[in-house]
Amino acid sequence: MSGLELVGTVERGSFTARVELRVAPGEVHAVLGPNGAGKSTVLRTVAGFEALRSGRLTLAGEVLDDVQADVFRRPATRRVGTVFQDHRLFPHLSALDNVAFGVRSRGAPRALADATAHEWLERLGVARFADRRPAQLSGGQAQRVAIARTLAAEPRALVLDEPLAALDVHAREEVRDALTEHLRDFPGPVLLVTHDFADAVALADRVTVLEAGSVVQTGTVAQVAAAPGTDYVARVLRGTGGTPSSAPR
Amino acid sequence: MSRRRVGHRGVPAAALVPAVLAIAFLVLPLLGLALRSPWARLGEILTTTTVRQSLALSLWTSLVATAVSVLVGVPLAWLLARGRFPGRRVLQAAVTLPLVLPPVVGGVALLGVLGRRGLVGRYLYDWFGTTITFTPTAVVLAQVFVAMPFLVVSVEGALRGADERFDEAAASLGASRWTTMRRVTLPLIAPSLAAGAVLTWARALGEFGATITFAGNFPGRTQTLPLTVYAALESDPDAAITLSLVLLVVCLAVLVVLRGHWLGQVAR
Repeated sequence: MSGLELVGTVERGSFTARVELRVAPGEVHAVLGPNGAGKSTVLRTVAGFEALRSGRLTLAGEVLDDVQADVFRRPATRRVGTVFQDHRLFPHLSALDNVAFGVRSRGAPRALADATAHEWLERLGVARFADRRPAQLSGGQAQRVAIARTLAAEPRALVLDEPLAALDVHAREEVRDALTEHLRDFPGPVLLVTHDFADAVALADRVTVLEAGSVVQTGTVAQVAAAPGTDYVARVLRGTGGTPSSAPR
Repeated sequence: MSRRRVGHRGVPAAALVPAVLAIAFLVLPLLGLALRSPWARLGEILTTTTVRQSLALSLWTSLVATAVSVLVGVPLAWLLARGRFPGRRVLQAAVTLPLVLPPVVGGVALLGVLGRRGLVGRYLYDWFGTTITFTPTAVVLAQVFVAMPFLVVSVEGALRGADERFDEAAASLGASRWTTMRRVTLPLIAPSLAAGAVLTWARALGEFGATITFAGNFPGRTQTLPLTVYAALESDPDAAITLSLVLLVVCLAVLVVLRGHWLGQVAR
């Protein structure tokens, strides 16, 4: 398979989760589950911030992590772009320099990196904030700059860790629209971690539901919506009526 | 209406007397230094050859020592903060030892290694015909030995406290560890690095014991400001007082700068 494939056990601290995930190129795959179900650990394992406990992780047929074969590729060499809940823009760099950072890390000369960065800021509709520091941006603006930064680095796969959860209702709308547009255009596999079914409906093609450390259901968004596999899924579905269901944490 | 103070943590009167004594003991000598300064002779003293030479020597050696400390101290701090290897704690202790070691012991230790008959110095002499002892280089080395730990401790602490989330973000963008350190981590801890460098410089400037032991006391060559003060005490007490005042003013300035840092005002 040419997409992203993770079959194995992920681990963080004393927590482990048994996971089987296959994401095709161009597919947006949501990992849905309550807090503490292991969603973020799955994402961190794909990004390379955690190692697999057992099993294998491949991207486009290339092994990123294989416990048996003793292979572990460091995050910097995986080209898995990550969008974090807390944008994680470098506080000492302007929006433009933040986006150019990833382009330059891939070897582009400064002028080209700046031009590329500017282009991406434009695509995300935040070019007018190019010279601002992250502290001078609103939550929605900062997250859009962070998305530009991740995409500008030309990743082979994308992982998004609750990219809307830290935003207020208005900013959430703004960033969700930006994501809808740019995830559709992204050629590689996309993994979206969320606890909000509305996000999955808006952004994802397929859903895997993770509860208490194991996969309880997987299918297209429509399949899962039509036949929720567990009480949790049913409850989350009922919460998607109008306002987003995610309660502030 | 004045606010009533319900103090359970106030200072009892009995503690005030010794506290005032302590203040007097710490402040009066410094005040005396300023009062006894021969202000009329200030210009004359500061322009004598010996003083000018030692001022210049102190200035450039302490600056070079600070630069060397930054150059090798930052990577060392990085290793101590982020490295995982056996004996890290022992190394940590060894590196900070000069902070508490009597400087004269440091001087003797440097002689033992780099002196003409020292462990390494012997070969320098045999092969190249040079000795480091009693040269300005020795002054710099003595200063680095006693002062670098200030930089290492300061930077190591900052690196430990640095937010790892930014390292993850940089790595996910494809940045190597080197790039991440250079372009993300170090800029973020720049205030601590600057504070450590200033502290290191102040310590290097005031260095006496290791210098006089390892580099000697040769005017114009290894006689730094503190050594000149010591030498002048017999020949020209006025000069000793004046130079002490110069060092005091420099240290006060350093304190003011660092106070800004501790209060987080230097951080942009």
